[in-house]
Order: sequence, then C-alpha cells, then structure tokens
Amino acid sequence: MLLGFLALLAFAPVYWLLVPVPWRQPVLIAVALSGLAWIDPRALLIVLAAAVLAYGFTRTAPGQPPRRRRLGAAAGLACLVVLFAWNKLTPHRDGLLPSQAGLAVLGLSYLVLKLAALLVEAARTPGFAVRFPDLLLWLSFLPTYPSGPIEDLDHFRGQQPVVSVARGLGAAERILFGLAKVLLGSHYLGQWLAPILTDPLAASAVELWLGMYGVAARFYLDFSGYSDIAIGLGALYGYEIEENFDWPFLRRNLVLFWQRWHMTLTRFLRVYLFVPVSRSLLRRKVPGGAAIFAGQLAAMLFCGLWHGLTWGFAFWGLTQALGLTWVGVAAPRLGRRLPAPVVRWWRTSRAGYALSTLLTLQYFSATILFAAVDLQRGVAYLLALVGEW
Amino acid sequence: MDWDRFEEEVGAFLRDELRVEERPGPQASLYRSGLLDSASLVQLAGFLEEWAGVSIPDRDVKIENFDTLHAMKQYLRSRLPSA
Repeated sequence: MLLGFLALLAFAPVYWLLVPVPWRQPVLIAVALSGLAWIDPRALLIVLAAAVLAYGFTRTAPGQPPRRRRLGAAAGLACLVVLFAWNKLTPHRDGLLPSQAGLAVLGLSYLVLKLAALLVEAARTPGFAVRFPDLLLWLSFLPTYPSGPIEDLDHFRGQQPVVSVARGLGAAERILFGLAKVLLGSHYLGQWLAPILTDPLAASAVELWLGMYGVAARFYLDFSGYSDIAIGLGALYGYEIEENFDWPFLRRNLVLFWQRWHMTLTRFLRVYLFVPVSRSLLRRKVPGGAAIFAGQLAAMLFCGLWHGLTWGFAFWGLTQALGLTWVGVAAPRLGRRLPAPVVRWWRTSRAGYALSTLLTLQYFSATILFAAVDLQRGVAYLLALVGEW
Repeated sequence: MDWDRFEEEVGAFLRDELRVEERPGPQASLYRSGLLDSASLVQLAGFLEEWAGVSIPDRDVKIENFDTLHAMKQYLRSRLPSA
C-alpha cells in the first residue's frame, strides 16, 4: 500500500504540469482504475461492477414507489453484506493494520460503507442524483481507497481539483507526518507490543500497563497516520479530504472521544445506525435510556464487526456501547443525585477535567485490548494487570 | 406552537432533559460546546417534532440542522406545510 502511495506522490508533478483542469477528473479516474488493477485486478472488477450497479439504482430508484425503492436498497445492502463477509472471512494476505490481517481484497471494507450510504440516500432522498464520473472517482479515489477517510459524496463531488504551491507544501508536510506515524511510531510500537500481547502472563507489571496504553496509541498512530497520508495525497491532487481524527485522547468522556476518533466512520454509524434505531424505538414509546442504549449497541457492534468478524471485536463494540450509554444516559442521572458542588467541580475544574480525561483514556485503552488480541487473551491480559497491581 | 416562545421552550427542554444549565444564545453552537451529542440529538429531534407538529425524517437528524437555536428554527420552518 505504501508503494502505491509513493507512486501517487511521484505522479503528482506530472498531474500539475501537464493535465489541464477540465481533464483532471478523467485523468484521476484513469489513474485510480490503473492503480486498482495494479494492486489487485479483483478490486478493479469489484469497483467497476459496484459503480455500474449503484449508478443504475440511483437512476431508476427516484421513479419507483417507496416500497420498491426500499426493497431495491435492501437487496443491494444484502449483496454488500455478502461481499464484506467474503472479504473478511477469506484469508489471503497479511494486513498492515491489525484489522486488515487476512483481508481478501484491500479497501473493500471502506468501499462497502460508501456503497451502503449511497444506496440508502438514493432510496430515501427525494430527487437524489449523481453523475457517473463523480460516483466512479468517489469510489476509486486512490488516496482514500485503501483506508479512508470515508468521504461524504456531497463533500467530494462538489470540488474542483485545484492545486497550488501552498497547498502542495501543506500536503507534503501532512504526508511526512503520516509516514512518520505509520513507519516509525506504529511499526516500532507494534514490534515492542508483540511479545506482551502474545503472552501477557510473562510480562512485568510495568510492561502490562505500558502495553495497554501502547495498544491504544498504536491503533491511533495507524489509523490517523494513514488518514494523514490520504488527506495529504488528496490535497496534492487538488481535493480537500475530510478530517478523521482530532486529538481524541484529550477528550473528557467517551462521547466526546468518539466524536473525534475516526470521525468519518462515526458519522456513518450515527446517520445509518444510531439515529434510525434509537428514533424508531423512541417512537414506539420505549424508555429513552433503553432506546439510546439499543441505538449505541447497534452502532458499536457494527463498528466492532466491521473492523473484524471476531468475538473480541464484538465484545469491544459492546463495551463501547455501554460506555457511551453511561456517559449519555446514566452519568447525568447520577449527577442529579450528587451534591451540586461536586457536580460543578467535576464539570468545571481543571482537576475534574484531567481526571475525567484520564478515566476515558483508561476505559478505551483497557477495552481495546479485546480488539487487539482476542476475547480470551484480552481477559487474560486484564486479569494479569489486576493481579500484578 | 408559538414562535415567540421558541427559545424559552427549547431552553426549558435543554435544561430539564439535556441538563444544559444556561440557555444558549440564538447562534451559540451546542455541538462545539459539547452539549449536543448523538443521544441528545435524537431526543431533541423528538421534542421538536412534537413542539412544531412536523415530521422530521431520519436523514435530517444531523448536527447542522440542530446546532443552534437559529438553525433549529430555520429547519422547522422549512418543514412546515406552507414553507
């Protein structure tokens, strides 16, 4: 994947100097499709077939009655589930990220989310329409294809690919920053973590504690590093790609944390899972707390299973749903029963801020162990941690 | 539904249900100040549906439409049958 990014970097000056603005979109599409063919010809075939079918749906859906539109979208979503499961359950290659290990075709997890969003919007938005070149470039745009960010179609297609020296310099800085995160930070951290995660019982207390925070840091460096590279490469080709991370470890509760961690994914989860599920239950007069929990559970279980079809990822999703419901529903209720000065101190003092930020970091770091290894070893790790303490 | 009492009644909902102690100004961002999250968004949408007597589709339940009192008002007016 990094080789592909470097090839894109090398092609950028040719693009600036030789390709006039009106030709940039077709050239980018040609580059993207050639790049996909080079990475994996199956990826090219899947992207082309998906683009043609999805475009066909966007053209025919507006003229159909609502029930047929919904049925069409549901059939498309079912196909995407099959494609996703095939990709996750067919081991063929090693992944660069922990969540990419064993993927059959790189980038399909992101492609599936984009297509799902497209189908739902085409089925539910009156007058929805998209040009085929916009759709094809959105799906295949090489900087974001392998690991996001999951660009919003409306944000992406409205852009004119304009490049400038200032933008190019900013892009280069961003790419270097991302490469440093991935090649230095994540890589060496991963090497140091490997023996601790393989056999937590053999590690010392200090290694266990540092290892737990190290796993969270490694996920951050991986995901945000590749996002930095994608955002930088996008800018190099004249596109503004949406931000994906915004200092999540400095947030004081899990809700604020998730608003700043993998933001384009959490937008998908909010729009297509949390909001429909929780609103549907609220309309059926399910109590607010239960409806919110069900919405969070649907969103975060999906989030976990999207990263990896394992019990560890599913359990991690459950822990995130519980944490989010605690912050959004249970903690405020508890706050009403506590003395007002205590609540004010917690909410407004620097010590309260620091403490709640540390607790959030602690919760995320402890629970992500289930995703980083597996359910059994995650439990063994935490038990060893508590035992050593 | 009385538009003159909109700020007051939404302010009361924010205070009673979402624990926002001070009523926000018309242009104050609830999201940036950390007062509006996914959970409060769906509850706020439900309250506004009842208050204005309009239906708010899921696709419109997004931060942009409910980030400020002004944005909420504009959005609800766009959903009224006469809009």
